[in-house]
Amino acid sequence: MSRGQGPTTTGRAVLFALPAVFPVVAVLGVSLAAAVLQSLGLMPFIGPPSFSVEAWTGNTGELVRATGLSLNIAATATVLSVCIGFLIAAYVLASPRMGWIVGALSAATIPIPHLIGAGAIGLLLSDSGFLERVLGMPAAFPALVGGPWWIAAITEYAWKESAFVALVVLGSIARSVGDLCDAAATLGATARQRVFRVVLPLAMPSLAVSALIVFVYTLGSYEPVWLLGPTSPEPLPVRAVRLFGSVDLTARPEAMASALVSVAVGAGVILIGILVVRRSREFR
Amino acid sequence: MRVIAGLLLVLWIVLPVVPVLLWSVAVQWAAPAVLPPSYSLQSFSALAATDTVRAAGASSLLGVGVATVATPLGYLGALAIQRLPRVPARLVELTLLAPLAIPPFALVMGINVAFLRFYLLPSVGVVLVLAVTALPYTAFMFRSALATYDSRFEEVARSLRNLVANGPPCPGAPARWCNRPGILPRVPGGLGRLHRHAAYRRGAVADASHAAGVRCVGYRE
Amino acid sequence: MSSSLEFIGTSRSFGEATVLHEVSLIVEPSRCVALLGGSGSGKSTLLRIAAGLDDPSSGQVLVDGGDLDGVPSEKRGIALVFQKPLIFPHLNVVDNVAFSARMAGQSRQAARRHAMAYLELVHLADFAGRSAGRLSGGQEQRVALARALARNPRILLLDEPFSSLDSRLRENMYSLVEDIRSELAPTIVLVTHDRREASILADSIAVLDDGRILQHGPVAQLHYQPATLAVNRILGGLNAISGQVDGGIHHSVLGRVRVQPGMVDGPAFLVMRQEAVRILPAGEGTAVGNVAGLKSLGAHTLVRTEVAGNDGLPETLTVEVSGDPGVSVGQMIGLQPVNGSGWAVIR
Ligand SMILES: Nc1ncnc2c1ncn2[C@@H]1O[C@H](COP(=O)(O)OP(=O)(O)OP(=O)(O)O)[C@@H](O)[C@H]1O
Ligand SMILES: [Mg+2]
Repeated sequence: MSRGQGPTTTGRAVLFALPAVFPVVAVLGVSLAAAVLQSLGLMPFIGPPSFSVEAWTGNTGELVRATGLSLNIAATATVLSVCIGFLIAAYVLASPRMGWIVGALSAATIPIPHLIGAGAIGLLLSDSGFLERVLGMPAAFPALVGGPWWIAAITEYAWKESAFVALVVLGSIARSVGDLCDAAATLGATARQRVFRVVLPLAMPSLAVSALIVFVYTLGSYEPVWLLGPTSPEPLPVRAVRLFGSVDLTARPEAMASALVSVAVGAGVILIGILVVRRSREFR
Repeated sequence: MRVIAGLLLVLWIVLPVVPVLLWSVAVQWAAPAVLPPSYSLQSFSALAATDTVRAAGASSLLGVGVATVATPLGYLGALAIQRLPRVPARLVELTLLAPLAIPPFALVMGINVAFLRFYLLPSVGVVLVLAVTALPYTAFMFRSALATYDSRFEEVARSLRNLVANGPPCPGAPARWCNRPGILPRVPGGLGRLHRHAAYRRGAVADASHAAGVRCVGYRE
Repeated sequence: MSSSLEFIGTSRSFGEATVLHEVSLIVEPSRCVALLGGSGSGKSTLLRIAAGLDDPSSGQVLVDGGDLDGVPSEKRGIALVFQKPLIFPHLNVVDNVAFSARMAGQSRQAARRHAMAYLELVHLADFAGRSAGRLSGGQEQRVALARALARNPRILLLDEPFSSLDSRLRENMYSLVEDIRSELAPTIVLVTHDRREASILADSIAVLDDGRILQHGPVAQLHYQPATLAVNRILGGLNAISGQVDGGIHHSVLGRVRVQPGMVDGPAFLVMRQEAVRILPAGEGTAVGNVAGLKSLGAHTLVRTEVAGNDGLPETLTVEVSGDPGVSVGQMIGLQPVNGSGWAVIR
């Protein structure tokens, strides 16, 4: 692709960049700065500022536990989303008619907000919810909603995000993969081999990128875990929002500390992800 | 086997929506019943309530506001990424992607007090924050659109540029046309280039085959 | 080990458009048939049907007499070299060629060893470790050829495999195909636009026009005894002189030319290849022509002449001569068919 040559083109391009870059930098900068200041007690909601690291050091154990829990939920949800999303994409590519239906249905769930998705999964999986009724109210029906394993919340993420993964994968490879699968078939590759030896490697870059996006999104997402998870232990976002909304205004600094930790973890994951993706690209 | 896989996938996609749909038309639906005992559209009448309508109006207004801000800004950002030299383009790209990495709740929580301090109108604040979170999407949508344009015409433009620089002149085209970097508003120019390029190529192919004495006139075309 | 390939009344429509009309074609074992036809005539579609990538709307495809209906591509033992090279972008050159062996369950090492032999065959052994994205168009096509050959197919379908090679490499590939034919003797269907390529490589040529097989026969027959004007045109024949057949003799501005026996009396075109006419000094030969134009083909020259008859409109007759024709525009010359007899077609 062409890069601008000469100072005038570059100058004009900088002018183009400013109106887009400025609001982003301003909003992110102000928000993060304000969060840091508040977490250190320097920007209280009311009263005089007083510096304190209490919010960071006071309850480190709980902060660490919340972080671990959030990472666990996000990792499980990401693995599930990527696997199911790839299966959906492969199915859409492999079967002309039925695949079209699956693809359309899957894409249709994308505009559904996570909040609604969480409600739907709640109605499906809760105690005496739709699934339990369909199964005939077995006595041994596990606590999926609010249970210790976060199954309902993780299912909700996997449900929504697998559709996203499928969409990204299909968008990136749909054009080239048909012909390459034809070539593979004439070279003796069975349908299964075509999926795992041609489609999968071709989808790898877009799977990696969408996995990264799903992971960071679920890490910072609040509604599904809040609606469908147990009250304790708390993942980072739930903890942050609860403390933020607490009547006790002194909980604000702790809320900000939780929020900042989740921002930092997300940023760290993205950096690692970019490095890994780039390394594997060079390796190839 | 394949049919079963398809049905399982359809089940996975559709199942969570089923109880929502059933609840929306159920009158009463107590525990062991798999399907609601009776149906009505009553709950939909609640949609006409003034509250709901007002809320829908407010949401739409917000959406329109955010779109009007985020779309042109995204376009400008995409243009800038395309035109800037590599390193600054990378920086702009990362900046515009950054809102994706920050959980929305963290963004709002941090900025809440700051907006209060700045006496910013709440609606303006909300639009601003939402526009910033929408920017990555609009910018990258435009970016991929521009990239498609790029690959289609840019290569042609480049090969013509090379021709002008060190090969036979590109027939009928003033050199400056071939030397300008192609960019969106010049698509007509780009098309012209494409045509001229095609004409040149055709001529070259014909010459080559004549020289080799391999192909007879009148067939290939 | 090779097989016969047979199309019986194979048709294919995409919606309203019928792309293949009841194509029937027999390719004997170890033979090479060139499928010649213009762009969009349905050549690639026919190959895709044979390879099992597309299903005929009606008709059958037989291999060794057995119907292939319902047999999936990977079980047909038919290799197809596509019009586009379709190199797997996630594999390097040698692994692309080793693909079929890997799919058959061989170890990576064995598959690569096997692949190297075929890379050497297409003169690309030095590129074995190259990633797929860094090849020229011609190299890609040779990798695709090696990849298909490495499958050791009973039937090899080639869809314009040499169209992006330079002429020297193309000649190399021609002799490579000769080698392959003498060593492995697969049955080959070669799609091409280029009648010279078809003549060099194939035992017979099938002309496909607008989804119909117009004629299938040996190379010389297609050139000198075309079934129709369309076949003559597709094989590069430039001359069709209108006239009348009367008692086995064609009457036209060229005078009286004996045509093939069995030709019914009535209006007919005399097809006479531009290579099969000789230019003589004015006053000699069977007809008189006025040179209307000269076109250089490099080593050869096309001389376009206007031949006026005793009656009716003048006809254009083009003559191909090697080297300098020694005539100039406006000059009167004599013309004479090389052979005593000609070939007439009705349409
Ligand atoms: N999948 C398809 N859907 C609809 N029409 C098609 C499809 N594939 C091919 N066609 C049409 O069928 C006709 C024959 O196509 P085909 O690719 O067989 O031509 P071809 O002889 O190989 O031409 P070329 O020499 O240009 O490769 C064309 O008119 C094409 O538009
Ligand atoms: Mg074709």
